[in-house]
Amino acid sequence: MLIALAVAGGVAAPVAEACDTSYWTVGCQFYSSSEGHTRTQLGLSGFNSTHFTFDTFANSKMIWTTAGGTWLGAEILPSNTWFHWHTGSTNDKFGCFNPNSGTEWVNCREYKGWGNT
Amino acid sequence: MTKRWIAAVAGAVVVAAGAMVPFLLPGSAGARGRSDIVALNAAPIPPPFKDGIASRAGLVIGHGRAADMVAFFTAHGFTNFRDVADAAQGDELTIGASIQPDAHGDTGHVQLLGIAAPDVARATLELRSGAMLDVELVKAGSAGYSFFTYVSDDPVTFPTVAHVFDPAGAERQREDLASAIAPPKNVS
Repeated sequence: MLIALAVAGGVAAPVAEACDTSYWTVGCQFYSSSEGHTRTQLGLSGFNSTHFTFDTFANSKMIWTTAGGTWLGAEILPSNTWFHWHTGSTNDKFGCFNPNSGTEWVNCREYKGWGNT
Repeated sequence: MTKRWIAAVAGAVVVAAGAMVPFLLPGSAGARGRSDIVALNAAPIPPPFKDGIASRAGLVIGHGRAADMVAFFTAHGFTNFRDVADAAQGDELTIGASIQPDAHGDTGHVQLLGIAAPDVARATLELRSGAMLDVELVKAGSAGYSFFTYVSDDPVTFPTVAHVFDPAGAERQREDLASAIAPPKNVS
């Protein structure tokens, strides 16, 4: 659906403008197959959380990496899921990754704590 | 509190939540209310879920106001609770999974969590070895959904495809898992 809108409008800008980056802190964008984006956590908490939505496939991945980008874990989950991570390293990163065979639009959020807001 | 839980499969987290209740209820310090909290290691939990506990992965299913709720628990953390039907999104088979790396950065450990629709009677996994494995479906909750877990730390037995079938043996859905359990290596 989002792809169709972007093509009809000639650009993806209208979709991007709908992204509230104060909420979707990692961002909102098309992810090619095997593309991922992360954000350094804001600080150590009991938990740090990720939330994502996507529009094309049944599942996608939330990921946990070192500061250098080496993956430490991944969760394969349905859209509109929150995952609450426990980590002991301040510089770790969390974000989203598209494991599927095609491009999909992903809204991805990382934040300190484990509330849903 | 535990009577509200249909199946509890994440050990310490649920027990800790239950243990907090007496301290949160007004006037509870002097009360002698009966607790029906049951330690999960002593609870009558189906064997597939106990396997999940042992590997630090599983599902917790509870009653919400209007529907059954489910949360996934894995080695790294846990998801929010959500309506089982909402999580399933109308699919016959919904997969959740957690993967962790081995020493070389390849996938070294897989924890698979599944939700099957009410009309599903059988679920199978194809493994990398070529073997086909029946997984035990456990009915829980009032909406008829069933659940399963599968864990492997041996690449030969990593799941590659999941199938679910109706009572007549007709396949209702298949999920290719190869990309899901592949290591995420292109991250910025």
